[in-house]
Amino acid sequence: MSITFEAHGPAVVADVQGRLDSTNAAAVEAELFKQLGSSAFVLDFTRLDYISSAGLRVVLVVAKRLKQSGNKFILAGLQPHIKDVFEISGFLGILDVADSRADALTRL
Amino acid sequence: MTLTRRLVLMVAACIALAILSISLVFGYLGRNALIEQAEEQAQAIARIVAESARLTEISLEEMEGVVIDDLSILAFAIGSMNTLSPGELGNRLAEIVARGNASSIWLVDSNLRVIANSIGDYGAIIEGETLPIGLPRHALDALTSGKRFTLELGSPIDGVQYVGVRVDGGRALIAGQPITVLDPVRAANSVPVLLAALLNRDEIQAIQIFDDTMRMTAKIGDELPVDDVNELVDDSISGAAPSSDLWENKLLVAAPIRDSAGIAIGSTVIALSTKRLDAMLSSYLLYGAIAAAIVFALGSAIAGVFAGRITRPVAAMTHAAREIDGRTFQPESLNGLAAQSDELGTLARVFQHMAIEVQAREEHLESLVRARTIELEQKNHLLEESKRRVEAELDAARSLQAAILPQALPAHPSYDGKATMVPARELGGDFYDFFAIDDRHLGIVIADVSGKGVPAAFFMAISRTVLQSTARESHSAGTCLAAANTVICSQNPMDLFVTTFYGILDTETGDFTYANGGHNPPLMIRRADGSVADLPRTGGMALGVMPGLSYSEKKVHLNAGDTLFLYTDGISEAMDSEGREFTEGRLKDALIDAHAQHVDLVISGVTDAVGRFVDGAEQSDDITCLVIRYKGARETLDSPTELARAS
Repeated sequence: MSITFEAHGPAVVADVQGRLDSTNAAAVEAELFKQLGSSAFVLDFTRLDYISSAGLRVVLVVAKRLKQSGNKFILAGLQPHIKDVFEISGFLGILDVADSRADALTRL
Repeated sequence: MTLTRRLVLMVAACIALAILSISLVFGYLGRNALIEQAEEQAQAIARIVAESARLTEISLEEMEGVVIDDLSILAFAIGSMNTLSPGELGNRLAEIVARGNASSIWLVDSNLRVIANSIGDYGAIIEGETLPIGLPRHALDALTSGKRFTLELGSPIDGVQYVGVRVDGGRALIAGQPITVLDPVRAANSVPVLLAALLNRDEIQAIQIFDDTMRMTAKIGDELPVDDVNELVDDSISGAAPSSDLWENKLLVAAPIRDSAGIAIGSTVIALSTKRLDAMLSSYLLYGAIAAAIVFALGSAIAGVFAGRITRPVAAMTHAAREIDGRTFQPESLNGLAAQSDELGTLARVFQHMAIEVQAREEHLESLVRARTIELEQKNHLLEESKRRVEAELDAARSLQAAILPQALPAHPSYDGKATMVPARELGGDFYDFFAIDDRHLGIVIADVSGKGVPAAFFMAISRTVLQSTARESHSAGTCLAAANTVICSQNPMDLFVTTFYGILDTETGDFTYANGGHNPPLMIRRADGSVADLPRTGGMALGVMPGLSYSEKKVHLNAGDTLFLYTDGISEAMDSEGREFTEGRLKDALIDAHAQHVDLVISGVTDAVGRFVDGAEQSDDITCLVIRYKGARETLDSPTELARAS
């Protein structure tokens, strides 16, 4: 599990790799929250292999926080099985999802 | 070997080596001196030889002078013997010859006619009354004419030297003397005799004399190597200086022989025994070695004693350092050394001071460590205690969690079911539920709280209670979830959520109405063909995310014998030791015979398949599943054959 952050103009892009589950959800949440500021935020899941319900909660919490602060939040590059998880949980309905990072950045 | 000993040995060895070297140098110098001495000896012999040759010459000349003087006196005597007849004169001359060294005497007149001779009266009959042929005429004339008084008459004739003396009356006396009369003189002065006298078997073993053409003129003593000697002789004559060489056990020395003008006219070679040379060299070496050994032994001993005395303080401090290490050091033990005024005394004082400091610090540290250890042990104990307590409480929570879930479905002729939850080590948030809403309707729930631990467990308990209460108020699955969601959202400080599937089975008709709050769709196993398929999705958000959402419903019809399998992702995402997931595909494979199995077997079939797949890997999530099989409406079940078929 690793996260790298990049600034793209007014947005921060977080590249999340590996597995996001209950063993690292708390750490990832803390790491992401450190980067949440007054800018738009893109979570790039292109290289995310697995997400558990604890991981879903992290995404949800981040989305809520950004919504409160009035910043845009886009989830980008979901692999099909990850997208399925988001779909089943119903989160696709409330999250802004882009096919790729580039796509997400154009929409900001 | 200690440093001290090494130094002592090194110094002593150096001195001994120096002594040996000096002995060698002295030996070499002595040898050179001996050779020089030998060369001087050879030069002395050469001088003696030259001198002896000169003396021999002089003595021979002197002898001849004496002979001529004798003859002159004789001539005077004969000159005054005018009264005698030639015959008597001849007798007198014969007598003189017989008594003296002369071999013959003639008295001649101015015409060189013999007046008398030493043959005496026999002159008439014996040849020899005439002068020997070959005497120089002008010399004889010089005598008879009175021009010369005495005269040597040329070179010897037939081994006889002739001498003439003027006699009064125009006469001359001629005397012959054999040159052999000088032989004894010559012999007494001869070189070999001289050489024999010089020969000394211990020192000079051989002497050889060479002339300037390198021809050997005399030799005495041992044989010498011709080539070596010739080379030496050549060197000494051409260099006009002595030269020497070693041959076997002899020292050969050649020295030039000089004439009175100092020109080299030959060479003397002497062979000296090298015995003295060798003896001297070996005695030098022997004394050198003995001296070196003595110096080495004495030097080592003395230096050892001194070094021991010098390094004693160092040894004492080393000992003290060891004692510090072993905690037995007494600072007073260095008092004597510390009292010294030299550098070692200073070192000892510094050492003493340092040792006291170190000991004090160590004691302080040790007491600190002891205190900390005790503290740590107490804390450890407390920690273990609290860990035990927490674990006990977690165990209790886990048991409670399992206990609050219904253990068996309400007994009903229209359905049969079974549920199980295998909790993971960490407290989880899965739950299932079923409850009779009324006589006809059965509510079925399966849910999974996001995350783990105590918050998840609490959230699970809240969610279950909320669902149960909303389910009683509404007979619509969608309405129920919407109401529950709103309540849960209001009691969700930690932003958790719970995916929830809720369905209502109408036992009369077999209709199954359901709504889904983000949970993975249950599987429908048809009795007719054994097919296993997801229930159609309804779309719907997990509960607790956002209040005020609505949840759409869908309805499926269950025929008698159809089975629903509800589960959480603890099954589909169960992992083996290499991180591979069990997946829905494997779950469907495990359910391939489920339509023909008893519900108990369906559950155990799935959990066994998961157990085989993970093969001992630690269970990371709760494994929860619920099976319900519709057995048909109550009326149809009255027929015994139908009942038997459905079970």
